[in-house]
Parts: sequence; C-alpha cells; structure tokens
Amino acid sequence: MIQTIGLTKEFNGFKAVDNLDLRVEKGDIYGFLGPNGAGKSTTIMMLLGLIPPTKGEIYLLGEPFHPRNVAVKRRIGVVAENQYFYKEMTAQEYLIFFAELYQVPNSQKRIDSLLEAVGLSNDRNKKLGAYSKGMQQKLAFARALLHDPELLILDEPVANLDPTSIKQIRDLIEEENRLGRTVFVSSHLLSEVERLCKKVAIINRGKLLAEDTMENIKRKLTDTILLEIELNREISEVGKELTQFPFVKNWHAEGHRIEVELETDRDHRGEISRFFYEKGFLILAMKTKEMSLEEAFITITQQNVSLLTRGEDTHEKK
Amino acid sequence: MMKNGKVMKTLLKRDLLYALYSWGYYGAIFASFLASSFLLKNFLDAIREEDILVSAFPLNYPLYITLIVISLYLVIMSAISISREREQGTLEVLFYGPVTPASFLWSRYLKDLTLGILALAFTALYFYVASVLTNLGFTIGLAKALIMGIFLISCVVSFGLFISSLTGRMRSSIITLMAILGAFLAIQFVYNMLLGIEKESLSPSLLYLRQTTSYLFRGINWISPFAYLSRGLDSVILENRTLYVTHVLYCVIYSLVFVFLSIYTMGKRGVKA
Amino acid sequence: MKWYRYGVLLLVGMLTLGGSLAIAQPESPFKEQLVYSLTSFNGSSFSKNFCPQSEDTIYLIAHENSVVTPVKTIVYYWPITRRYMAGFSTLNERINGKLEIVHNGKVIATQPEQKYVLYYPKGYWSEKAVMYLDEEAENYYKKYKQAVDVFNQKLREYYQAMERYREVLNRFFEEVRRRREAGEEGPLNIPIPKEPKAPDFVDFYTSEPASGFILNLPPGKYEIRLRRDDGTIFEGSEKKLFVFTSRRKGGVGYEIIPGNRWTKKENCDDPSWIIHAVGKNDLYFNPYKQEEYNELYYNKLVDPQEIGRLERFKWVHIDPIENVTLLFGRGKEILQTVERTPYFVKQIPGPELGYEIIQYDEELKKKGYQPTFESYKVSLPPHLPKTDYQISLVSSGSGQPEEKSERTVRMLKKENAPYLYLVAFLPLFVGVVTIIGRATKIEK
Repeated sequence: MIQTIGLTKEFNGFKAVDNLDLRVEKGDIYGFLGPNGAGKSTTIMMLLGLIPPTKGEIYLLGEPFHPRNVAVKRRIGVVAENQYFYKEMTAQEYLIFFAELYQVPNSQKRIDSLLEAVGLSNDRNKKLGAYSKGMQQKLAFARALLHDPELLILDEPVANLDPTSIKQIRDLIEEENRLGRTVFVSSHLLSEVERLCKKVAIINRGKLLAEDTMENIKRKLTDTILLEIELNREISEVGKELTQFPFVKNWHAEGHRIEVELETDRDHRGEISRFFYEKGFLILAMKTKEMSLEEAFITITQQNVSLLTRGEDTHEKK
Repeated sequence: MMKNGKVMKTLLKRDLLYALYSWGYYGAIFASFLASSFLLKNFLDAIREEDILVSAFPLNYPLYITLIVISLYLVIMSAISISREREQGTLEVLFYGPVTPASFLWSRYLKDLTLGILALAFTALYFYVASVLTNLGFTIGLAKALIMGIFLISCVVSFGLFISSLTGRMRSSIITLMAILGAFLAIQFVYNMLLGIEKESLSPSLLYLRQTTSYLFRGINWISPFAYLSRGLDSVILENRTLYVTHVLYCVIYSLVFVFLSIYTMGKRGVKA
Repeated sequence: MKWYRYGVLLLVGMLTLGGSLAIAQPESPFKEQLVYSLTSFNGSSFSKNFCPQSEDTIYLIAHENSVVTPVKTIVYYWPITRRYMAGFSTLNERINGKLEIVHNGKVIATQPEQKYVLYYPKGYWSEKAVMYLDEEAENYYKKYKQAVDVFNQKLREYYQAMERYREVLNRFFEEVRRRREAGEEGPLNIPIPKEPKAPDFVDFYTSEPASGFILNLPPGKYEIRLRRDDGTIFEGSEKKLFVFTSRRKGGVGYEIIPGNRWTKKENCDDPSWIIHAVGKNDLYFNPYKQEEYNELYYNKLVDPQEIGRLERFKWVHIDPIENVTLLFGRGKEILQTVERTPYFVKQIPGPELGYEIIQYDEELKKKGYQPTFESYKVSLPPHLPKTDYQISLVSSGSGQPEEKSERTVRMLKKENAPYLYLVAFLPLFVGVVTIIGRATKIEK
C-alpha cells in the first residue's frame, strides 16, 4: 500500500529525511515512530504530495505517486497532526462539502453514521469555530473516513483526546482495519501504537532505525532479556555459579526470588531451568519481563544518537 | 477532467456561499454606493437653476469609483485567498484529497469573479434606481461599461490571485499587494509630475528619470489591472466597438496569463505557509 | 532588506529629486540657432510657430500640406513662460539646401523649396485657410492684389463721391435756409442728396507668396535633414517628423452659448456628451464639423514646445456648419424647429449690470449695430417635463439628417438627489437578510 525507496528530503543541505525505505502491506496497522524532529512529518508530507522529495520514489496503492495523481489521492484518508477547519462552517456542512469533493454516493447516510461513530451527532449544526480540540480531532476522523478510503494515514490521531474518546477512536481504527483498510499511524503516544500496530518503523534524524513486527523490534533492538524466577527456597551463594554461562549478563537475588539478565541471541530459559533443577531447586514460577515499546524506543533512539555521534552504523547492534 | 470540474464546482460553491455570509462583501458594495451617491448628489448640486453642465456619462465617474472600490475589495480578497488558507492550514487539508492547484485556483478565480458579477448586478440596480430618481439616464453606454466591468474585475482578481500564490502569509500578501500598487501609483505620480515640468527646468539626471518613468509607466499600463479599468471605460466612452472588443480580449488574455502563472507558482510554492 | 530600509531609500530619493528640482537652472539665453519655421495645417487653418533645437520632433497632420522653412535666427530662453523665443526681427537668415525625408532608414524624397500662399476665403481674421502652391499660389495672390486694387480704386471713387456729396449737402442746407428765411412754409420739395456707399473691403485674403519645403505625407515616423549643395548635412537640421491623423472624423460638434452667461461658452463635441439642465434655459447652439486628435500630438503640432497627454484626445472644430436646421424634440416628436438667426447682446444700463440677448432686427441694423453672434436658439421653458430631449441637425435643403449631430438634452430631477443615500443601503439590507438567515440555521 505504501512503499518508499531511498526517500530523501533536503532543506538547504540539511537532510530531514535520509534514504528512507518503508513498506506498508495491505491490511497492516503500521506504526511510524520517532522523536520530535526525526523526519516523521516531512515523510508524511511527502507521502501526501504536499512537498516534493529531493530524491527517491514513493508508491501508493501500488502506483508511482505524483501530487497531481488525484485518482490515488481519492483512495486515501488523512488525519493530520494539526486540525485545520473552516471555522464558519458547521460539522454537517463541512462533511457535506468533503463528501461532494470526493463524490461520495449516499453521502448523508454516510455522514450520519460517521458522526454517530465519533460521537458528534448532537453537535452537527454547531460552527466548527466553537468545537473543542477533541471534537475537531473526531471530526477530522469522520472526514478521513467519509469516502471509504483504502489507506488511512493518521498523524497523531488520538492527541488532544480524553480517554473515552481515545478508546472510541481506537475502536474505530481497529474496526476500519478489520474492514480491510490499511492504516499508517504516526504517533508519539507509544502505548497507543503498541496497542494498535502490528508493524512499526522507527526513525531518527531522518534515518530508518528499525522496521519490523512489534515483537521482533523489541527483541532485535534490545540486547538483554530479564528472567524473573521464584524458587522453593533461599538462593544463597548458588547465584554466583550462574556466571559460568556466557549468556548470563547479570543476576540479582533476594530471598526466594532471582532476576537473571540474559542475552537475547536465542532462548536460554531451558538451560537456566536445568541449572536450578540440578542444584536441587524447584522452580515455582518463571516469567520473562519484556521491555515495553516505549523502553525499546528510548533505548533505540538513544543508542542511535550515541552511535551516530561516533559515526557508526545504527543498524548493527553489538 | 469531469471529476476535476466537479471538484472545482464544489470548491466554488463553498467559497462563494461563505463569502456571501460575510459582512465585508456587503460593506464594500455599500461603501462604493455611498461614494457614488455623494458624487451624484454633488453633480446635481453643481448645476444651478438656469445653467447647464455638459458631461459625457455623469454616471460613469460614480461607476468608475464603484468599480475601484469593489475591485480593491476583490483584489485584497483574492490576494489573501491562498495565503490565508495556507496560513490557516485549510489548504493542506484540501490537497490531501482530489484538489489540485489548477482546480483550486480556477475555483477561486471563478468565485471572486462571481462575487464581482453579483456586485455589478447590485451596481446595475443601484444605477437604475438612481437614474429613475434623478433622470441621470441608464444608458446603453452604462450597460456596456457594466459588462466591461466583468472583464476588468477578472483582471483584478487574477492579479490578486497571483500575488497570493507568491506569498505564504496574509500579512505578506497585503504588504506585497500594497507595495506593488503603491509602486504603480508612485511611478505614475513621478511621471506626471516630471511631464508637467519643462525640459529646460530639468537637470540631465531628472530628464533621464523622466524617460525611465515614461517607459515604466507604459509597462505599468500593461501590468496594472487598474490601468485596464481606465482603458476599458475609455473604450466605452469612445463608442468604438472594435476598441471595446479588443479591450475585452486584452482582459481575457491578461486574466488567463495571471491565472496560469498563479497555478504554476502555487505548484512550485506548495501549500505550506 | 527590511521594509523600513526601503522607506529610508524612498525618502532619500524624494529628497534628491526635490533638491535637483530646486537647483535646476536653465542655460544662458541668446544663441544663434538653426530652427524650422513652421506653417502647419491644424485641421481648419494654419498654425505658425517654430521648432527650436530643444525639440527633437516636428508633428504634422497627414495628407495635408504643411511648410517647414529652415532659418538661422537668435533663440533665447524666456524664463517667465519657460519657453524658447525666436528673434526673427534680429536675425532671419534663410538656409539654402534640399530637404531629405527619411523613412525606415531610407531617403524617400528630396524636396526642393516651393512657393506657397495662404488663402483665407472669408478674410484675414476668418478661421478657415487654404494653402496654394507654385503657379496657383501666384494666381491667388494676383487675384487678391487685383481685388485690393479694385477696392482701392472704388475707395478713391468713394472719397471723390463723398467730396461731391458734402458739397451737394452744403448746397442743400443753404437752399433750405434761404427759402425758410424767405418765409416759405410747408414742404420745400428739395431733393435730399443721397450719401454714397463706402465700398466693402475685399472679403478674402491671400498671404504674400513665401517659399519653404512642403510636406504632405501619410501617417508615420520620419526624419528630415537639410543637405547642402556640396552633399554635406547642415548641423542641427536633423529632426524627427511625426505625421499623424485624426482618430475620429465626420461628426458634428456644438458650441453652446448659455443664455445666462453668454461669454462663457460650453462645448458639446463628443457624441457621447449630454447637456444636463435642471430648470429654465435659453441655449444657443453653433454646430461645427470636427475631428478628434491625440492631445499630445495636436498640442505639439500647434506649438512644438507645448505639452500634452498621450492617452487623451481632443476635438478640433474644422468648419462651421451652415444651411442646416436644428430640430429639438422628444423621441420622434419635434418640439422646436430652429433656423440660424442673428442675435444681439444688449447691455442693461443701471445698477443691475446685466444683459439681454435679443434677436437682431432691422431696427438695430438701422441704428448701425452689428449682430453679436449668429446661432440656433433652443428654449427650455420651466414647465418642460423632466425627461430626455434630443437636438439634431437636418440639411435645410434636402431635410437629410446630418451625421452624428444628435445630442441629448437631459432635464434632471435635482430634488430627488438626497434619496440616493437611501439607495446606497440596498446591499447592506441584502447582507443583513442573508447573514441573519444563515445565523438562524446554526446552533450556539
């Protein structure tokens, strides 16, 4: 649905986006992450044809993209980071205007259902100038979905929303995805991306740091995993013997409980179980404490920063 | 092509409707009529009992003033029409979808032109009532001048759109517009001032300045939309059909050139402020 | 650059401009110069002027004879009128050579000098003049000289007749006195001597034959220069020549003498011009054939040092139109049919210091008064309905309408003028209805 090859944007010699390769498959909910100034918005603007790339290619919905390719644009729905409305219009008039622009058949029915879905039915005849930020965000969602697009590009879709509205929108996105729509989400709310997205791309300083499924990202981009083990008795000095394993990075014991930090090259849980069994311990519980996307994101981007400052390749993890 | 036409129609409908919901439009027409009423009353007061006043079209000067006021309003409106949307961000939302610089600019041009035509319809009504009241005469010449007004407004609007396509923000649009119009007026003023002084009274540098401003003045006559306004109304007064049609053609060419330039500039300049 | 910097630059520019204007001084006067003495056709007559070195272009009307004569004279600058003057009485040296006319870089004609006269068919002070060349010029001048000779002869005869008349008159009074003193009463039956009539002066005028280079060219841009017999060009003889034609011709223009201010005439020349009136009027119309010329070109034609506006045009009266009848009417209805009539402006004695325009009649003629003007009088009575009226001319003989002679006389309803302000509120009213209509559809 979206593919970029070597996408680059330079502003007066500064590379805002640097050789970016993205691939969003049909049916994906694709998260696009990066800290402020990473090049996310520039990438989205290029995807929407609002600014021309300096270099590289964009394919949208399987076709090479050109800003004047209106046929492709008609198949995309967009919710931008900042909402811009004609403040003198009412929500109803606003959606009718866009329905006419996109030539939506049975537009009034569609408008009614979307206003219902985003919870703005009762405010449809209010001027948009009187709308709160949250209401505007919801209306932008309704507008983006109005023409039944195949691809949804969402830039910070739940920013400015209260928890109830966030859930409403999240459900709507999931519902639209279930209906076969591909969703490309750029967000700083990592928890939201984590909940919604099947696949994630992380960029910093214009460069792509990682693009994979959520699990793989977390696994690939963190070099240790924390194993929490509950034993039947106190561990005492046995813990020290764990250091004989080269994949054990660190350990910390407290009473019956021990935390072992392992390398992530492969699954070492079997070897650890056997060790404690041979030492006469009974394992009451064992669980992997996973790194959240947020922790991974911070780790990755920080590493990336430090690596970049040393001039090393950011993709290679030691 | 047909879909583009529908997009244009939708944009035109929205823009036109919401322009009609604003006070500015009616205020501008009201101001122009007030100025016209003042001029007409003065004209009538100037003719004493047992006296005469010979004048070509007494309604033409008030019409000229009305056209100037309406044109000024429309040139400012069109000059900020793109930059305002750029600044407010609404332009970018349109361009997510099926809107292109061409469909957007043509719709804007048609919207401002339609507003101009509506204002001219008001003007026609005003002058008709004024002529019934005072017997100043709603002549064929006046009707021709009103029709010419459509083409003159077309020039004004396309010029304004071009200014707007160049600038990112409303403030810079207005400053640019005022600077250009001010420069036109300044050149005209200096030209007329130096023309009124005998060559012998001028130093070589001032003679050079007079020559330069004379060339600039001739250039302005082709660039300034307000020069088309004067020339267009002159062609009505002269009752020369060929000249009239030629002026209409000039206006059409002028408008097309500036709309296409605006489309090109907007394509290059993008939708961001 | 910031905007204020442009402002500073503009200010500096304006100060420089102002300063330059203040210190600009003309050159010192009195210079010997080659100038072109001009006798230029101006539509009806000939304008006489000269083109100093300061002017690089001579303007002439196309397809009409005009004369340029190169002379060496004293030229001086007259600061009061800000123009160059020529001292022809001090120095007026003709320059011999041949005039070359250049068009598009090629010499299209080499002109020898020709003799010419100006013939004024209605006398020296009349507005109309015709130029005759060569043999015809000689003939017209001869005709004029002969007419003057005949007049002089008649004048001599008149003086002799007057002398005889005075003698007869003296004898007449002597006889009357003698017979009355003799006691004769009642009619004396002595024939009253008849006073001889003074001969009328020649009713046309022909100027003395002069010579110059005759230019009669189609419209366009040319150059002229004077070549000596040895092939060299006289320094300062090169001038640009701009030959132009009228923009519109064939119409009728009116000079209007308003009854309430007869010395301040109005013109209604352009066919689009309308005569607006509000009350009772007496209007005296004088129709003219006219042509429309560019203001700048025409002004420069009449006087090369004159200024004008390139974008403006002016009507020039060519000939008075005679043998026509003026019709005043409303629509197709003719209200007044007016013939050309002589009028006399009679001053009203006493403190009023006014005047009265009366028809010139036999009584005034007997009193020796001449008509003040001849004109077509149209009266607009106060009860005339306030609407549009038309004037037009038809030929007195055939009744054929004169082309483009129609003008509108519009009676205005001045009393309704204040209501115009009310009409101005119309758009605001529509705006209120539209905006309130919209506001009712919106929820707060």
